[in-house]
Amino acid sequence: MTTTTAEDLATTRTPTQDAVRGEHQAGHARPALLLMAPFLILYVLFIIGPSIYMIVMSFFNGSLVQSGLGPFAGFRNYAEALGNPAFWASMWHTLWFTILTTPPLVVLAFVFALLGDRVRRGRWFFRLAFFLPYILPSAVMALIWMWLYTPEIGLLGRVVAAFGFPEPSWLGNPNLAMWSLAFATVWWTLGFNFVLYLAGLQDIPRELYEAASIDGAGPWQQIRKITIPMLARTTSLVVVLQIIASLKVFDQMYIMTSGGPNFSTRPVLEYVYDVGFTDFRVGYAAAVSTLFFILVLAVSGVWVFLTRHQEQGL
Amino acid sequence: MLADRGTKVVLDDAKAKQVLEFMRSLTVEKKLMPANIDYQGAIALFASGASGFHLNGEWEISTFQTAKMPFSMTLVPNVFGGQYAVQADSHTLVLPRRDGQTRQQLDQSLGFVKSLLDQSMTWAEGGHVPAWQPVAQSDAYKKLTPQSNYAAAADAAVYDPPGWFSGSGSNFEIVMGSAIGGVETGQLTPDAAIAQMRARLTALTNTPSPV
Repeated sequence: MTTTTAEDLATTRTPTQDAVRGEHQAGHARPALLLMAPFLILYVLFIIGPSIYMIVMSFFNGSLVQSGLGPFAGFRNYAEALGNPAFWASMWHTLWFTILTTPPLVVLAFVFALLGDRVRRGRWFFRLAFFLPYILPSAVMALIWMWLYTPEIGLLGRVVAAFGFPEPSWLGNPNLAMWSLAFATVWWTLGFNFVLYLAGLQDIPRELYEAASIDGAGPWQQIRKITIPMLARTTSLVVVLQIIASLKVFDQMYIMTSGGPNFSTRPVLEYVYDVGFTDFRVGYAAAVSTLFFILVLAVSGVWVFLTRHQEQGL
Repeated sequence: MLADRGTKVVLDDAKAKQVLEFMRSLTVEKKLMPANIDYQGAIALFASGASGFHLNGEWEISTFQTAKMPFSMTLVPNVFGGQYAVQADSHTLVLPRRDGQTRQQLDQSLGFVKSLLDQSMTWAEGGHVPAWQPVAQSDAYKKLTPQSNYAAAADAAVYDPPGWFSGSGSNFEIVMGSAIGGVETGQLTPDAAIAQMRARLTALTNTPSPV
């Protein structure tokens, strides 16, 4: 045989070659670990460590103002949380916020990305305009919207009043406050999903559209049969990132309504904050955090399952 | 409202209802403020001249001074008769106990506290009633208006009832404030608010103190 293929090499590999190869990989492992070390150390120090400590704490009646874990409580903190209407109410507020924000943040981001991708002139302006709110700190965004929502002198109330409607109490009505917070949040965070979709759109080969238009497919058919299926993986990424981001809501509610009026917009994370830092009951707060952690973990688990399914399907 | 160091709820329903009905009438009926306004909104309305009356803590004085609006301040009137009393809290300096502390170290700590108290005039300019008598009795403070108009409030100050969950910024104030706020906006009836206060306070009195 005069030519050697990779297959031949593989079949004629001797045990010593294997050993060499193994050593080679082991030689790579150490620098790899070393390169990852800065991240791993921080990850263990600030994510893994505190998470384990949180779970341990949840089994004790710890106090913020006393050192140590406090007396052992077993599952009593969990039983108290599961039997407490305030816990379930805050859990529902977090879920309700997620339900209100996720669909518009996915659909609108897709629509705006589609439009932003088609714009010919001043494309940079539209990209910047949609992304700019996202870089605002939560406190700035909250202040802007608190001014817009201010009764009597706020811009939104004035606009509604100019059309002759009675001015709604945007943040003061317990039935409306969550919608107002959701609306402000959609404006604030849309840019992130917008950019993800824009990147996804640019990955779709132009030839597909050319071929489709030669075959006589209209713009709407092209969107339905090419764009949406080709963006399926982007969509599943956007959806899960959005659900997790929405579940983690705290800042805007804490700043804009402090969970009010009368607790109607208190998310579960503010409940954790209230019992942990206002009531000093860190053990109980850790138990509530752990329950919430399980919920977020379950959502992420469903996503991993769905994306595996999707990848196998492709 | 609370007894036995925050282990028992002793809310007087009849009195609570009288107070809540009065507070409700100020916003919902007499519309001194829009019923649905929040804290920041109420400040914005008053600072912009859109409302003529504002009931708040003295700490907001600098907000309105910065807004360069003409205003004055006075004591909350004695609405219900009887002995005059106003809800208040105060700032406290806490010195941690340290074993083996020398007399000199203690003197240094107390000297630092005194140097802070000597600055009470600055404190008073921010709206607070000074507790440090050399300043409280001084002509400089008496000439400081509108701050000295309400200095008498300090004599009638009543703190939150003692308990592990009461005091400034505590859950007691969140629980009471949420229910009272609900009445002021017209979302809760006084009776519903009292029931909510009692339920939430009872949950807190039944919780062993973490302090």
